[in-house]
Amino acid sequence: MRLRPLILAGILATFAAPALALSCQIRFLTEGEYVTLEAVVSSDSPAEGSYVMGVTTVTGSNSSTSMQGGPVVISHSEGPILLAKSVHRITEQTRLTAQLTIEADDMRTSCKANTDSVEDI
Amino acid sequence: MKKVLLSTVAILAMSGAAFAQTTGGAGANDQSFADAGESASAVNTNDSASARVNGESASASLADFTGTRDVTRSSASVGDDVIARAFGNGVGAGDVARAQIRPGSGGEYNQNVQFQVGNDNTSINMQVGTFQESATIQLGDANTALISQRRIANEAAISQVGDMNNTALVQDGVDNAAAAAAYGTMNTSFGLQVGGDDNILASAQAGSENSAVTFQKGNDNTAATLQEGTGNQSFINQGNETVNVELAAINGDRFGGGLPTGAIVSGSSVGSLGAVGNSAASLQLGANNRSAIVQTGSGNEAVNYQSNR
Repeated sequence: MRLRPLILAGILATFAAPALALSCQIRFLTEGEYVTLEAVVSSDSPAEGSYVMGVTTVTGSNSSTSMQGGPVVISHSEGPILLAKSVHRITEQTRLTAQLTIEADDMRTSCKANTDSVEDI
Repeated sequence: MKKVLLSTVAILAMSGAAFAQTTGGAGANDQSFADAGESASAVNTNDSASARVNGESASASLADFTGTRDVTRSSASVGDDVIARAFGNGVGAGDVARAQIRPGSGGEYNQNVQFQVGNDNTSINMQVGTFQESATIQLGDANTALISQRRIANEAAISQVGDMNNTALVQDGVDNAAAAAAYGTMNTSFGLQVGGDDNILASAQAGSENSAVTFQKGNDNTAATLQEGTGNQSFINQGNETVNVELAAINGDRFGGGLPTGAIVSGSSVGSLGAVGNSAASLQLGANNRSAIVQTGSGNEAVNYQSNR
């Protein structure tokens, strides 16, 4: 049995929408062959609405999709608020696509991330 | 009572601790191992696979030890003070099957064990109450097993060895647990847990062209699905009623399903209520597999693991 030690990459990459009253962010945290995606929202004013984060991975002939969505309630100016997390196995061949969309009151913000390889993360 | 440990995955990741690991190798003894936190694990040694969710402890496992002896087996067990367990070792001479139900210290409850060998069998068990146990084993092809339970703290396990078998676990209530295991090809596993919180469902399938669908409605539910082989499909839906689900039982039968085959989920808004604190893990080992996880609400966490070993 060959054990592949985990190495904490310590990479925290962010893909953020432009600074608005309402802003979103997809955080990436890699560890070994896993990546954790976090959907994060910030706002400088109270807001209520909903969010959706979709993540797809394609590795060779395998593919996976995860979609997480639900309410966003910001009672006062605050951020960042963690909305959802998903963990995915990635390899050098994995193509990962993520999109976070937040709609609150009359505002809408969206963040996207596309990786052709793990090197992009 | 139940602790959702899948959620520790991301927490540990954030803290920098090792939360997941893999091992790999070449040759007949290839072994891959994925461990997400303490609760969702998958082990693959040639044709063996297992899925387990701890806490209230629901597990499903199956193994093919053809490399050492001509035995295939599948087992599913569920336990929380009480245990429902089903085990079968394959079809043919030397059949061994064991179904076990062990009540806990709480008193007298309903228990059911069914064992069927052959093809085209149907097993249906319905239970209404609390702390009920049901275990079903089917050895052969084209069998169907249904366990439907209502109310609180019920446990169900179904184990099947063969091809084209169907499993349905339907639990309506809270604090229920169910496990399904299947060895063979073109098997389907359907699990539905509605009516409340703190439910656990584990499903394991080894073979090809298998499909597993899990629906959970409520908060703090946990689902783990493991598939080993090629062309498998997995769909876990927690808190979202909008992506296909049908069901009834006790006993209006009607099962259902949803997604994969291309698996595209899209939309700018997914419900307004959703569920809270759910954890889902899908692990697939092999090629041409499809996995989809849909969660609505807040504080939900998903793990997607695919390996073309």
